[in-house]
Amino acid sequence: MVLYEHNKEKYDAIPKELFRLVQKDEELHDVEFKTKPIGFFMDVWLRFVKNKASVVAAVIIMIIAFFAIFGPGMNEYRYDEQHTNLINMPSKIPFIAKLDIGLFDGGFVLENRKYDNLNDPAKYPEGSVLAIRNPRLVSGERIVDVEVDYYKYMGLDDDECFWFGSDYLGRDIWTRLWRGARVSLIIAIVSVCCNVVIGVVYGSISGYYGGKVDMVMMRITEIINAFPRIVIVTLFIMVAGTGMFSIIMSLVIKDWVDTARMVRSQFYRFKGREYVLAARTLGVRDMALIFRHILPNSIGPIITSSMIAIPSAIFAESFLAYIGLGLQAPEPTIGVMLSQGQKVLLHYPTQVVFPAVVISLLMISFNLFGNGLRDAFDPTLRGAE
Amino acid sequence: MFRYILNRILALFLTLFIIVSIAFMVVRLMPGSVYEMGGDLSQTVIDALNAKYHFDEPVIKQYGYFLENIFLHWDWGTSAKMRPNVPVFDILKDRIPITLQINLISLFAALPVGMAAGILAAVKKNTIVDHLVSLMVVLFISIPSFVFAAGLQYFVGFKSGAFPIIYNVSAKGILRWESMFMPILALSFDPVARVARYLRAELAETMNSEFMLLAKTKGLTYAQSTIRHGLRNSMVPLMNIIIPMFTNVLGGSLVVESIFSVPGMGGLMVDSINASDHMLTVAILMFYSLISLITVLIVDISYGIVDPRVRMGGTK
Amino acid sequence: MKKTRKTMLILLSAAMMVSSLAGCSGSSSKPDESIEFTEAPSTEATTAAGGETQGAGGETQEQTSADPNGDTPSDEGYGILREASVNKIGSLNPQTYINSYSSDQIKRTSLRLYAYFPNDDYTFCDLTGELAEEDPIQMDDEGKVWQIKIRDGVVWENGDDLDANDVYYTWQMILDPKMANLRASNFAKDVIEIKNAMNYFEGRCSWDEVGLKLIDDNTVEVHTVFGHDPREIKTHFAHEANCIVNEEYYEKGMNADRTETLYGTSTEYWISAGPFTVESWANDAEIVFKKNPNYIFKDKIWLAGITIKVVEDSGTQMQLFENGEIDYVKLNAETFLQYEEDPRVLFSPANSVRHITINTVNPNQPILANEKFRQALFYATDRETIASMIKEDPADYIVPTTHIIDLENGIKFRDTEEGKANTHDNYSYDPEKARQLFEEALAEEGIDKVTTTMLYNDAAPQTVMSEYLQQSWQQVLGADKFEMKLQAMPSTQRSELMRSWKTKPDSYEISWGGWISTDLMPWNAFKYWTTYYSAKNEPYLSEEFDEVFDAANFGDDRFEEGVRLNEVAKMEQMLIEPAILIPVTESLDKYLKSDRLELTMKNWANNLEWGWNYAKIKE
Repeated sequence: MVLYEHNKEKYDAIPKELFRLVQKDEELHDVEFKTKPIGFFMDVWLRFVKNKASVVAAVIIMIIAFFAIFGPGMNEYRYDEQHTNLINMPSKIPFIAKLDIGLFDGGFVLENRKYDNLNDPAKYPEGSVLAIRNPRLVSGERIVDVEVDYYKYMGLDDDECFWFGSDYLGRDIWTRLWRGARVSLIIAIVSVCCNVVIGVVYGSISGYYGGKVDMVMMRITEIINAFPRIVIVTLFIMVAGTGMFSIIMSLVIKDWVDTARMVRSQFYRFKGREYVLAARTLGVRDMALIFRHILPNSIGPIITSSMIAIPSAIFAESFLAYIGLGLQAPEPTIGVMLSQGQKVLLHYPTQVVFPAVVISLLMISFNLFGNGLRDAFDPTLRGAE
Repeated sequence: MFRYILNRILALFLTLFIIVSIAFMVVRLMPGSVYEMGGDLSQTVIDALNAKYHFDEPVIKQYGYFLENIFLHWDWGTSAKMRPNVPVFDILKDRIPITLQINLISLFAALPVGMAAGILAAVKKNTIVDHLVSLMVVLFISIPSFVFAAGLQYFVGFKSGAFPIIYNVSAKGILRWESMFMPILALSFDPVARVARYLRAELAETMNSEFMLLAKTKGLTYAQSTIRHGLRNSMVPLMNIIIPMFTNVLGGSLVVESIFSVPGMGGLMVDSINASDHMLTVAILMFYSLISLITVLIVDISYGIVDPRVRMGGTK
Repeated sequence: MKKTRKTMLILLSAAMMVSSLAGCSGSSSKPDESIEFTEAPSTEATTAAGGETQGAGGETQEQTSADPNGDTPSDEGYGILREASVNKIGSLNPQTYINSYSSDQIKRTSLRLYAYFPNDDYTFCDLTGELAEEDPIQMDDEGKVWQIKIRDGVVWENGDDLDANDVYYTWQMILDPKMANLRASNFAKDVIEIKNAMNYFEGRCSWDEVGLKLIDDNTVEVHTVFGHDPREIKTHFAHEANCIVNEEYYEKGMNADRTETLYGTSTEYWISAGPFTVESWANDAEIVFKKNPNYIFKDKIWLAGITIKVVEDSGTQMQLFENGEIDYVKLNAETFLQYEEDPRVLFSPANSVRHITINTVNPNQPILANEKFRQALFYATDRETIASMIKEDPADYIVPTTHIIDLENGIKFRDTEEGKANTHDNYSYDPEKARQLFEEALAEEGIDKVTTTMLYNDAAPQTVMSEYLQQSWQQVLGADKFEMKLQAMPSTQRSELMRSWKTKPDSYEISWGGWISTDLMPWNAFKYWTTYYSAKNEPYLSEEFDEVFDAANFGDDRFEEGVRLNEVAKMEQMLIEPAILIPVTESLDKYLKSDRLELTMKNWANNLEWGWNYAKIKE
């Protein structure tokens, strides 16, 4: 305006013919999108890949899954093949052993050996002794700890090796570990899927209807919760024998309760929200309210907790193995191997280290993967950075 | 509110009754009879013992005797094998204090640590602090407890000698607390990690919501808005993980107990189930359920206090 | 004390260092003394010289100069023996105790009429009177009436007299029908059968008719069903279930109906009279014993006390031992591998043979009743491999090597011709024969594949043995024809399930067994397979076997030369020939003992093992 005021004469002098109306004949349109529309899952995917940690976790899970499928076939041993003269062998991986870094080279410390026997070639074959440590007198006897190349000590050829060592029956730990990972993952995934389905339906109904329904349903979960897993699994073993079914059932029977309680609490949080009220006023039916309007809010916690539940189920299975109610031998699971290894932790630490590393990796990966998924799925975060 | 609490307490006793009844039936379904055990017992003695404790009668009748003894004499029976003839609650009485001590201390020590770590991680989301907390969480959760416990025992107890290798039951005062340190530590890893993880996730979500924006807009400081509004909202789901944690920590410490030789409830439960000591098993199951029922009750009641939007008893 | 020793060691090692120069040059000529061993020579020298000097004089000199124990044990004793145990003491009541571990502790704190003591030169056990003054006195010709004199001046911990009245009260209580004590049958009928004892227990006769009489304050009388010799009477009354209980405390713990007593469940309801008294007792955690200055044989006890901690985890036990917090520890097979050559290891035969038991009456598996099938399994078992894995001794027999058939001459059953006849070459491992028998069995049953299940404890060594046998049997008998599944179970539940075959014949198919038995009376050990034994693992009911058993235990000619030997050999043969059970290994416990603990026993001995109670502490 100011501009016009100041130059009034100049502008007024412009002839009227020079002006014309814009868009007189054409209709107004939005500009058409050049890109394709992004769907819900594409959106999830895009947000998921942004989270580097989750991607790494997913890759680790895939690697473990790969080994779980193909690992047992990678060497010449079968999972139940016993070498009764080669029990509790240390781990040896040929190309790492060549690097000479003191790991995976089949080295082992034989403790409390008589010093006098060291020169006996029948006991210590040529070149098997690497070092002698900690000389001492015990009850007047000369005793030392001897570090040996255990493979030479046992009189084996150079090319024979157990990558991760062998267990109390001389079975190859590498093969058993991956086969165990396979079995454990199957047990865990199946049981968690059952948990989530039962838990979500139960928790939704209980949380949505509230009142007396909730009261009764929650008391039922309390009753179920009161029975320790060991009681349930013992009963199942009686009915169905030791096996995957009993273990999966004992995991499902107790664990869905946690999912249900969590879903229920989510319902309590959201069912009073205005949008639910609005939807109900518009005549949306209960089932649609539950599953379309309220449940998606819980999807984040459900995903996180079920991702965590997978390694937890492996843990729970290892607890059962610890008290002797594990899977039927000789079938390995990570839990069975962990509990077996714990018994010899002080003397053969490798027997517990490898399964512990695998279960820890699984736990970490599922954890991070779950976090990533949760952020990606969370509808409230949709579009937010 | 008062009526609701009364209702819940009544329901608690009803639930407990149902649990004890089912437990009574269930332990009798377990394999083996009480006195079919090792050692050279003659059939006459076994028969006599079964008759004495009514194990030779139908389960329903046994259940009748069981209820009669409880309601008329408040007699929950005596242990058959773990400690013959000792009333079951006397056995529990010996075990409960130490279990409660160790577990509660570890839980209460873990809660503030876990919460602090969780809040810190959420507030400093995606910074180095957050990543460090995540790493700690992941390590604490993902390493099996017996590896932790055995490692602690081996390195801190055996190798360095800083703390006693096992729990010392007869020591008094500072020595006793010293010997309790490692089991408590071993037990607190898991709760710390769980609380931290959950709180971080919840808080991070809450921080994104509109009311937090509003809180900040109306002039609250970052800390004020986080504590008064954010934290309060994140407590509700946290309550839900504390319940199972509480019951888990009571029942799941078997491994830690056995490694540190703590005469607690975890070992007793497994032993009594394995030994088919029926009366003792029922009493232990009752103890566990009572604890978990009370926790659930407290949590449910505190719902209303923590989150005003969630008033209990509300229907759809 | 400790200091002088340390300085001495330092001095010694210094001396060795000097002398090591010589050692250096000498040892370098050894063939395997290659480049890697730079530190080996000095190592060798240190230890070598140490060994010599120590052996020569150092140790002995030190010991004689200041033995804190003195020449004879003082009333207080010296030093505390520290033990760790995986087992828990459920009850110290000798009439209701559950496991053999409890009974060991009961023996430490209670008195029996007769007990096993180390003999004079500490090489063997001696069965003599503890509370009884002397051997039982035979009162009739047939050996059915016996009188036992009780020592004078024996007192309880609190100073009260312990005399024949206490013994009589104990007898009344253990057989009391209302109490229905768990151990009643061990008292009523084991080596000897007390007249009418079981009848009274079952309420079929009055107390007056029972063959147990109180003669006076110092004499009791026992009437038996069969005739016996003094040794059998003594052996019977040396059983743990015969420990004397205290009337005052027993009654104190009694309930209103007189059906249960709390006696022996806590210090409040317990009073000792044995070698040790209970100083403190935290149930299922720790028990502290103190030497009893009033004990009859206090001169045999050197220790001032014993502390036992319950430590369930064997790894923890090892750490406690290595840390010097306990004085001896039991080694499992895995741990033993690291101590194989350690001079501190003590071997302790466990008086039992691990065997496979077969449920021949299982209706789902008729082949288990087939003798040839069982024999096939018997011959298909590679006992030597199993033994090498679990570090025990292979066994294809039932009577363990420790069992003595002829006590006077100390002849072990396994050393006799008859005993040797029951064993075979290669510990009866014969794959060829096994296959052949298996084929015949399949043909007889008219089937072409056997699928069976083995029930086992989830603890070593049963896990190892079962998993090994699953494979090796399959290899020997052919994977296409034989398959065995495994089912693990906690030990108590497994044994309960096994023994329920009487009511549920399909309770198990194949499982494990092993009886700990009286090692000085191998004939008595066979009671587990008689038809009247109730807690039987396997459904073996043979009247013929009962006859031989009765002849060996109660027969008139049993004291004659060689009769019992033949009968024991016959019983063993009757069980292993048709493979009623399949012996696999002889259990062998391994202990690691600290230097602080000096054993008075010169060797392992029956009933005493290494005589921990009689050990000395030197420091």
